[in-house]
Amino acid sequence: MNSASNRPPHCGWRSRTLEATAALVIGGVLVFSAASKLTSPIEFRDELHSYGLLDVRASMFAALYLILLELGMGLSFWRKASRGVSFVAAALLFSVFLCALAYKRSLGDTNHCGCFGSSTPGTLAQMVWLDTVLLAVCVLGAVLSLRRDFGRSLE
Amino acid sequence: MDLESSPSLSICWMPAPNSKFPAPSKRRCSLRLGILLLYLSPVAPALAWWGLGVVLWPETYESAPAVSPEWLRRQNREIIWADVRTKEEFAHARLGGSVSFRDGNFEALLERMASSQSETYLVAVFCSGGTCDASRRIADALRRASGERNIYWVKGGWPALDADGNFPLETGTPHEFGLK
Repeated sequence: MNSASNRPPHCGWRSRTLEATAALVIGGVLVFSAASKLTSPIEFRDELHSYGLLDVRASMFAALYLILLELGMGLSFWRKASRGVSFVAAALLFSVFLCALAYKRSLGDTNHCGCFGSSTPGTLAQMVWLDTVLLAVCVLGAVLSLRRDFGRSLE
Repeated sequence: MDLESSPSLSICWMPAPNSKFPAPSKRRCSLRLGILLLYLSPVAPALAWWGLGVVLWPETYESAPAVSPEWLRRQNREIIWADVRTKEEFAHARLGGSVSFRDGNFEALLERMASSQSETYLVAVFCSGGTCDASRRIADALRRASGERNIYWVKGGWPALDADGNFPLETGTPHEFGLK
């Protein structure tokens, strides 16, 4: 067994704690968001429809898909072995959300975006900040997870 | 495009023997595959859920979408307003060219729709404010009865439209399609 002094830096308790905290935050946010939208999928459909890119039926399918995607992605953080992939996928998802918010803003719509369900308060600008912070947490988590995996593979 | 020489288009791309691109590592390949699977995994259940919903609860899945006054303004289309407020409220002030729809006055509304000069008009149903459940049900019923897909329900009702201030108001004698 390695002593603490022989361990490479990516295996330190700080890295592990940070990674676990990031996983808890991102996983929790995604599961909460999915659960919140699940209580009123029609309202989420209307939010997606307001972007003007999809008709009502396609918006409904997209709403259900996104709810399931968020739920699955959130739950995937519990499995430590796949956290690296989960962080990268969540970072891509938040990047897509940020692009969608920028598009909504470009249309002149600054209303509530329903990003985390219609029951959660917040303006479009606040949601952009929140998405940016979550994206940064995902990137941090991905770096820590992949660095740990990479370090393990070298041992 | 030659897919053999396009590493970015495949997940586990293997280079041709004389290719200048190096083969991706096993780790990178697994990562790409994992992300793809994570994104694709909800497709089948979402499709099943959606399909079941369309068959079992078409009235919910096909319900009139809720839209904001901002969204209506952005459409740049003729709007036929179906006003579900009381007749007194309608007589006091209303949006230009609106139809009083308090009693489900389908004939007046259909007449108004038929008289539209535009091919791309949309119908917006609104109430006097609050939860507006009744007006939403009316919008859904109208959508089903008319078979038109361009029928919407205005979120926030009259207060939201009034606050928006971008839609012309009418006062005094109601529109010819209004009070009958």
